[in-house]
Amino acid sequence: MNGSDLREHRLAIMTGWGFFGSFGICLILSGFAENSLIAGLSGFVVIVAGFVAHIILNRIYGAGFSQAQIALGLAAFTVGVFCFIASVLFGGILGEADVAIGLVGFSGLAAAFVTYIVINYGVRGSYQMGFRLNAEERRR
Amino acid sequence: MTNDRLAWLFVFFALYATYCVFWGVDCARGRRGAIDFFLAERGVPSWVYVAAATTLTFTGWVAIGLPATILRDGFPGAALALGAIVTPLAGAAALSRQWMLSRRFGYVTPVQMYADYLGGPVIRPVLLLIALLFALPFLGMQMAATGYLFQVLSGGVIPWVYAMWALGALVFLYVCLGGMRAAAFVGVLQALLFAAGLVAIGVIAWVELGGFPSFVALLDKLGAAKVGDWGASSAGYNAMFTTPGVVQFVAGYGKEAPVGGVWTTTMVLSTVLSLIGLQLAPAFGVLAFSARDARGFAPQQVWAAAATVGFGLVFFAVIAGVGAQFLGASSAITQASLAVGSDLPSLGAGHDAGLIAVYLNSLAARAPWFLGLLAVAAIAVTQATAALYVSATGTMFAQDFYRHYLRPDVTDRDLKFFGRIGVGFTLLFSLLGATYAADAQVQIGALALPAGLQLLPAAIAICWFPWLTPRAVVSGLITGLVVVVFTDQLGLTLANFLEIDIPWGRWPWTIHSAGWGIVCNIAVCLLFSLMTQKRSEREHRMRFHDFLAEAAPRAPNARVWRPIAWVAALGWVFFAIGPGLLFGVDLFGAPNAGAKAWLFGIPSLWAWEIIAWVFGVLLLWLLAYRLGMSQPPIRPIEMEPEGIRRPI
Repeated sequence: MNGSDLREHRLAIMTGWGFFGSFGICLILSGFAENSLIAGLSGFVVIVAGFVAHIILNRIYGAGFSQAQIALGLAAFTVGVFCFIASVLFGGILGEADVAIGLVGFSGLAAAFVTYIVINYGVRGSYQMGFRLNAEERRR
Repeated sequence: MTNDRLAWLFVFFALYATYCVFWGVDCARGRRGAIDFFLAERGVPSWVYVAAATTLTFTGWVAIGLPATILRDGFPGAALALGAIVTPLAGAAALSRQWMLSRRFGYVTPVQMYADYLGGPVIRPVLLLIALLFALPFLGMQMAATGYLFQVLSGGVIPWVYAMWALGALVFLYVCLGGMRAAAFVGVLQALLFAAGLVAIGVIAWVELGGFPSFVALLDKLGAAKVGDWGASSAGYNAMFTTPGVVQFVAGYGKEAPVGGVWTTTMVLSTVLSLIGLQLAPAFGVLAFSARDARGFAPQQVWAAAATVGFGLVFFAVIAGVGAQFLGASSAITQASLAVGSDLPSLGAGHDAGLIAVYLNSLAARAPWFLGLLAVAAIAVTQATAALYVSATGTMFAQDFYRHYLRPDVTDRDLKFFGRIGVGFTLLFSLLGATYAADAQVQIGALALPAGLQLLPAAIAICWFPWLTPRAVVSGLITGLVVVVFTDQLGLTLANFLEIDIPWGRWPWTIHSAGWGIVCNIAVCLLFSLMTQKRSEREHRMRFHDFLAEAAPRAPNARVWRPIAWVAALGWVFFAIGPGLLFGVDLFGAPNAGAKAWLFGIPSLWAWEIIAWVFGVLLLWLLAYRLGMSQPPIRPIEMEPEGIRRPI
């Protein structure tokens, strides 16, 4: 990619996440606030749509996920899951619908990621990639 | 609760501001020249153009103003939603060809293009005046509106003046840094927020009303009740469901107001035509010239503007506007016990412009995060307009004023510097106007769209008809502008100041000043063209038209399709926004006959407007794609050196 394409790709990615991310999080918050399964899960669906849009844009521009993007995505996912677990264990404010939203939603996000990996690299390729990363880490 | 809403408002605003500044800084990196600052090196990608042009076309006026108009005037006012078809129609007629000319002859601004084509000393200052009308008062009005929005949504904690200046400072920062490229890039997110915000407001109304069946049941009752600000028509229908005739020969506002509502079909036609001014405005031309190629024009006009925004306007804006009447915004309907809730405060007596703010306010208790996000969406729409207008005006200030009149030998670096000065001055004066002279600004700003429409003969001349002579076009333009001024509020105020008694008021005969102006403009233009044909001048004009004849795409079977397109366009104008709108009042069921008698289950006039929208999209597709009016050139355009580097 030349400089112009790189900038366009970055614009598309940032805009996509700015849009899908903000609406997704607002819907998830509404789902938790009003014990609304539909609103909460819609929020997670919007986030997954943002992820799919990112993959499509990567394909259009012939790019992959950068290290920073992977780190940011995994960190956001981990923080989200951690907050949810902490709220369930210690908050005592989540109802049945809220727990369902969190469980289904975060599982859906993880499933979307795994599906992407499997489609992109194949089952064997995904496993080998994980094995390779693990081996590199041990070597280091 | 106030703390919650303030916190979310600031969270989303901070994220949005960070995004804007990031792109401002990113686009400023490297040793970039003036042409990059003014036109993004003529490299704005098609998809970015589609998004930025759509937000610039529809602006805060449509996003914030249309639901408010529908709240006040009902379904006759909803016909303005068809501006989503008419506005890009003008773009289909002119933009692609103007883009080709800018590529061939190196024009940086439309002012250069028109001045080169028409010649003479008059056209440049007149065009700069029109550009300033858009840049200063029109922009100031919109910035003030977002300031008020911020004030209302912050629960009065942040005064509108502070909010407006802070928002202006943000625009200044990223446009001054990154120029047109930053304005266009940020426009992508702003476009998405605009579309989502428009849908969200309709959805809020939908949910508050208890769903669509409940909304229709309320319309059924209202149709039979004759309640509302405009009473009943001569046919006995509630004025909210019917147009008050083709035309009313009344003197105009301030002297004699129309009876039974504002939106006679002539008023609808002339007002919708005024929206063409948005795409003919010089600032829009600068954005179009910055496009990398012409591939973005047709999708922007057909799919983004007409189809997507049109869909949002004919459905969601209507539900938000009419639905607000049943949610407490109309005191007459509340008093008649037709309201289903009191979620919204009464918005009578000229406060209807605050409709979007009160809708968002209704979210404060239940979902303050959505309040924050949608508030930023509303702000973003206006900021998109502001950024693109100030960027384009800065360009025109540097190119058409400083370089043309003061220093023709200016260096590239200085030109960019004066572009930035132009950006700063434009914002400064529009904000000062909004702060200290709001009334005057409203009167002058109201002229922007009608004045922009007056460029139609000039645009048609340069793109299609060499027969129209420069002197005729310029005479028509000046006549049109004078007529616009004296059929609108500003002219009446001036006459009053000079103690001259004008026998008409604002918009006489229920014809918008844009309508009066364009009729006189075209009449003068045709008459003068008959009288001022000169062979030598025509040869100069043919230089442009010969190039267009070679480069512009030709549709297969054009001979067959061209008459079909003319008939379709004229027929659409007649039935959708012209006198034919009257057929729509009761063709699909009388407004007072009840929902069971309505053929499509909704009031007849609304159904008519939806059908008109569908046919409008088809018409635009026919023109833009089938006839190739917005398609890229058939051969690569041989570029002459940039206008910025040679005297024009």
